[in-house]
Amino acid sequence: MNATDLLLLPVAVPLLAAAIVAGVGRLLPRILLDAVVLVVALGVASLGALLLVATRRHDVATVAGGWGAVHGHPVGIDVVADPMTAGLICLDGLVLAIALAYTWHYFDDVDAVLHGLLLAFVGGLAGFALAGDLFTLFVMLELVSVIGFVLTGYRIEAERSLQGALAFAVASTIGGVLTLTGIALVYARTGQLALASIGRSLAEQPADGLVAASFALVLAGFLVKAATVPFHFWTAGAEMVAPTPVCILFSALLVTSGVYAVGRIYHVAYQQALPGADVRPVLLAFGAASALVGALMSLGQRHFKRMLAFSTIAHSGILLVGVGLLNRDGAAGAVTYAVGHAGAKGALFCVGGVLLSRFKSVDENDLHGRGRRLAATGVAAALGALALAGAPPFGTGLGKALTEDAADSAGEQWLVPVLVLASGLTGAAVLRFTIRCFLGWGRPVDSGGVPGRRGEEPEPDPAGRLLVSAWLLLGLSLLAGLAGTGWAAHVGSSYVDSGAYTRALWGGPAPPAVAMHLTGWHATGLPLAFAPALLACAIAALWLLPGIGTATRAVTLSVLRPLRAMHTGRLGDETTWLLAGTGAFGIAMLLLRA
Amino acid sequence: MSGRGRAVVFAVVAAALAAVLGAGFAGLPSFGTSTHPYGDAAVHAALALRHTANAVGSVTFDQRGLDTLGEEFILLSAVLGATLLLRPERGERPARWEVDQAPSLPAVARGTALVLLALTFLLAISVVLHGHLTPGGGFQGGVIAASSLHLLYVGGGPSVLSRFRPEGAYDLLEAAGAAAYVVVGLGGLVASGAFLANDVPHGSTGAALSAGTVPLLNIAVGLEVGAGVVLLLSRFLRQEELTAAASR
Amino acid sequence: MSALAYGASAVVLLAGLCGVVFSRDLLHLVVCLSITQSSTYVLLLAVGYRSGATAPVFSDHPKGPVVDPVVQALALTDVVVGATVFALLLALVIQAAKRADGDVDPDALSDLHG
Repeated sequence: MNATDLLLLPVAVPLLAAAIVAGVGRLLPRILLDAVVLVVALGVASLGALLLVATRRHDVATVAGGWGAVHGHPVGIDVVADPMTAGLICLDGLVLAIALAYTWHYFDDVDAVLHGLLLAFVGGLAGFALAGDLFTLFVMLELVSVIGFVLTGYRIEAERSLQGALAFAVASTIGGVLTLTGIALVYARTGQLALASIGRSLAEQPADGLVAASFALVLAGFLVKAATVPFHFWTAGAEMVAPTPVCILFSALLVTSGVYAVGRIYHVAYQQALPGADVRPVLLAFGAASALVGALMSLGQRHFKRMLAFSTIAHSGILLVGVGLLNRDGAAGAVTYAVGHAGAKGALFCVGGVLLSRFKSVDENDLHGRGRRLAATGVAAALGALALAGAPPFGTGLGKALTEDAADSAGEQWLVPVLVLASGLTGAAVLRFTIRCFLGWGRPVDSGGVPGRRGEEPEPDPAGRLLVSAWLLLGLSLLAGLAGTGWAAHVGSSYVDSGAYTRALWGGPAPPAVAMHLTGWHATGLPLAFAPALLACAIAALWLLPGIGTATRAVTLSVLRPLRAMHTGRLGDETTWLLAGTGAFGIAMLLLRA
Repeated sequence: MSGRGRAVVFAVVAAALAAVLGAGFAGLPSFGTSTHPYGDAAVHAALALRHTANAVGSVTFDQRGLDTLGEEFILLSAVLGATLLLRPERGERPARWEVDQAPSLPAVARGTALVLLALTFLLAISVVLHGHLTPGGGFQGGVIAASSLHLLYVGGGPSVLSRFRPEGAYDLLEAAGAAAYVVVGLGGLVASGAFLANDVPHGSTGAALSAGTVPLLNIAVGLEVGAGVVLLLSRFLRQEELTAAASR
Repeated sequence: MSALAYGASAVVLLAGLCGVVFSRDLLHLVVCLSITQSSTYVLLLAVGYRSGATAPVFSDHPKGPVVDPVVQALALTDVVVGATVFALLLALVIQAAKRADGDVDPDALSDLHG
């Protein structure tokens, strides 16, 4: 058995397990169902690790169904794994396995429905990562979205859950429609659906309005998933109301997959048609906007999960910046950041879960000082806050440093203060919450935003297991920061290399291997690395100190007022902004190409 | 945004979107063009290589079978999702359907419904089994089969329908259909080293036994879709019962 | 003719989106969303059309020019996906309506603001 045989197993096995669980799961004891999902999740993670090894020197590709070209035209669906794909699959399995510790006794699983959905979710994510075909990407996107908004609306008795689920469903459906429109345009032009074949075909013709417009339309659905501003409104609602383990999956896996798709589609399909000089400014603008809007909004929240939701939007923007630099170093930074963020955000959601189980609340006002006896949880929260602020030695810190270096060498120095500010603000928000809740410092004061409600989530089981998950996730974030830059450089370089992708499919001479070296932590970079963490501490202090705190609050809330006014929570407004984002992206691409 | 504000912003946004769509559509080949390279290759693959008379069926289940796998599991997830979202809440009890709650249709109408049920069900089976030969296939046939069952609702009422709709059995059927698709795919992997490979003998075009795994996958999908749509509708009907019971 | 075929798709898309944005009833919004999805069916099938060709099913006629079967398969997948999403959206609408005693105005669902 070689690597190509393994390629579709991370999709087939979870889906088969999902079908079996859906069929006979209600006859099986709960512990067995949990065990099945855990084993499958770890299995997917192991397959991802195996694929990482297999893709060490070259990408691995196959065509589903064993189809070759017919009359010179590729006919089947390309399935390609490069190190980025393999790493994403590994992360999917790992995070699901760790988040699963949560589901024991958390959900009343009617008829094994939840377990079936989680299995199908991980299968869909794996299919998404492996897809080398635009339409397969769309189908897997829809699969993952459907399961996502069902899980968001899990607590049907809470009106907020329904609103969050509706917002997610409407946004992802419209995104899907726009993506499919773009796919139809590309298909009409090139007669291809496979990414590599589209790339080859578009390279042979001049890029006109159709190519530019289709790029914007195709990316729309994936930008919705990536929670990029202004496609992001669903994230703020959904992660606030979804059950906490689901939020971990969204922040760590769903959003990351969305950003992954943006880069993948550009590098393999559009790179030769639309030069990087045209695409980069647009992607960087959207990424920077997401980073800043998400970070600012997170500061003005009293609901811990909504705060984390906005910080996910901000960090996804940082990921998009890394990917949007369209070079190896940026991609390496993004992948390190993605793992670091997945761990940190997941750990913070676990902290939220502990608070819910003890105090039935995640409202900053409500919880003031009540966490004093939860020392371990408080430490985890503080570490999570520092990780969000990109403090070394967390993966977020290394990823941010790599991204900043990449931005610097690409001539986009303006990004550095943006990244520092975004990291600092989100770290400040979580740090402020942590200090208020676990130390009781500062006066209780309304930070704004949607208030939490008592008893809005049923209590999960005692905190012990949740804290284990939190430590594991923080450990993952640390691991990304301490594992050096070699692996990230390798992943990043193959991600931006469409040649490696096509060589795996169609063969061809491999260019001589270039030694890759990225500077990791270095002494001269330390002040910049610690800057956001220091900024976070400073801003948190401004909120907490007596006297100054009230002034800080007043200033922040008045600065935020226009932004908050846009977040009305109404479907009509959110849809309008989503369409505005697509329109802006499209017009930008059309103008830059002309 | 206020109503007026939203209207203004949307007008601008719609104009921008229309411009993008216009620029995109302007580059499309003229309607009815005869250049369809993927289509021609797909037709050749279907007819010459796989002896499948229905080229669309060949594309759906053979050439692009991975997409159909995803699609099938979207349906499975939707059924699971409907079960989750429409589940009875604490304090809700379903109504017990009594015989006199059956719709008071004249006997002729009820008889016609039952005759149509038999005919529709046969049609459904035919559409599924001939999916590789004539337009149709697993998805279409499955929906027809599910509709045929619901003629019982029209003709006999909800109590009769629920007698013929043991949910556990339908769960099993749906899961069996979905699992069968993956198993056929894995069979291809074991036999020929490619997931969803169609290496079963292909017979001759137009014959009942042709096209290799396509009829097998059609049956699997038909089973899954038929049972799945029945379950989906049953969740909605149960929600109706809950609402009716609550309002009484 | 091209303008009509492709323009129809664009019009349906924009009309559906307009309906979604300005809807005052949640059920109406979901139906408008479904209309928006149907614009992709029109576009896909229009892209695949070939003048003077027939259906790509050869059980009753010998090989000749046929329309593109690939977009038909894509449209079929699209229809299934659209139908399932529609069903789940309706489930959410039912639950929302239960809690609001009847019709629900999407603009009233604004708990998640700020």
